[in-house]
Amino acid sequence: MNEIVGRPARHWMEDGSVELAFGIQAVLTGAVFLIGQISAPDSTFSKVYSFLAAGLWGCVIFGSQWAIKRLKERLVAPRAGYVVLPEAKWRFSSGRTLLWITPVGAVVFFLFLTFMFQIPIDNFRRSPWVVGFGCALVFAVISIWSAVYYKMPRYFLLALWSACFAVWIYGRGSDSLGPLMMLMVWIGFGYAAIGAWRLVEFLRANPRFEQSGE
Amino acid sequence: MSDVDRIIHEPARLQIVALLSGAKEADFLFLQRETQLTKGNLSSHLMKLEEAAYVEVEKTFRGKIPLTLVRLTEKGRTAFQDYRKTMNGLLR
Repeated sequence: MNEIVGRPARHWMEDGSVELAFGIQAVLTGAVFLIGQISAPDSTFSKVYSFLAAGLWGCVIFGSQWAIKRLKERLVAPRAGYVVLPEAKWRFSSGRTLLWITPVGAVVFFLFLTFMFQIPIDNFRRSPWVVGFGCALVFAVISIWSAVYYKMPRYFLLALWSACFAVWIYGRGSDSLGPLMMLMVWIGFGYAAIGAWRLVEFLRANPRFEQSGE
Repeated sequence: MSDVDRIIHEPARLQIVALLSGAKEADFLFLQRETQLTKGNLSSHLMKLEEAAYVEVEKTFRGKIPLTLVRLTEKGRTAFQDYRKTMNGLLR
């Protein structure tokens, strides 16, 4: 019974458009902020860009939301139907939810503090790559959980992709470029590639309903 | 067994109600694809659920294409929850 109840949620994810939009969003977000970090700190470009970056980022976020809606309406709905998911209800009383949220939340909160306020732990201050490394591992764990929960094996590939970033940044060591932004670009490419591959497969397997002869 | 809701207990309708319980609303094509029922069969089951006020059916258009949206009512959601509880109790 739970399998049937969970089908609308899986339907939302099955065509790959969510991953494609999220991937492009992540690549562009990472790129927007990496450009700011690469440019010379006191240059006119840098000053102007720091104002523009937030606007650009907003355009990326809203643009990808719009794109995913259009993609679903034009390509997915005529082939596989249309579903609106209910608003998410967090059940903090659920032991299983707490079991997942507590450790993941603690790691994310710790990494946030480290990144935002440079909390006085010398090793972390000297090694900004640790933030990227930790976030990549968190992403890998979340991907594995998604693969199991939504029964989507392709998320194991994303977990492997995130783990590859963790290994790469561990080998690269200290870096002045924002490791989080590099992670965004890396993960974004992974999501976009897997989403595009899945979308093509989905479109091939599901011809438009009125053309299917039924 | 007398407590079991006969409207929901029928396998095809149970599948429809279970699918709708995981969504805010869904269209006819989605339900047909997931239940593997024919158009006529699905329409007839939806009509029975609508008569019991378990679902709401809204006929609209997406551009020029007709679109039939179906959603579970509060009564339907409660009935499905009660049905699950009853069945869990019976199978325990």
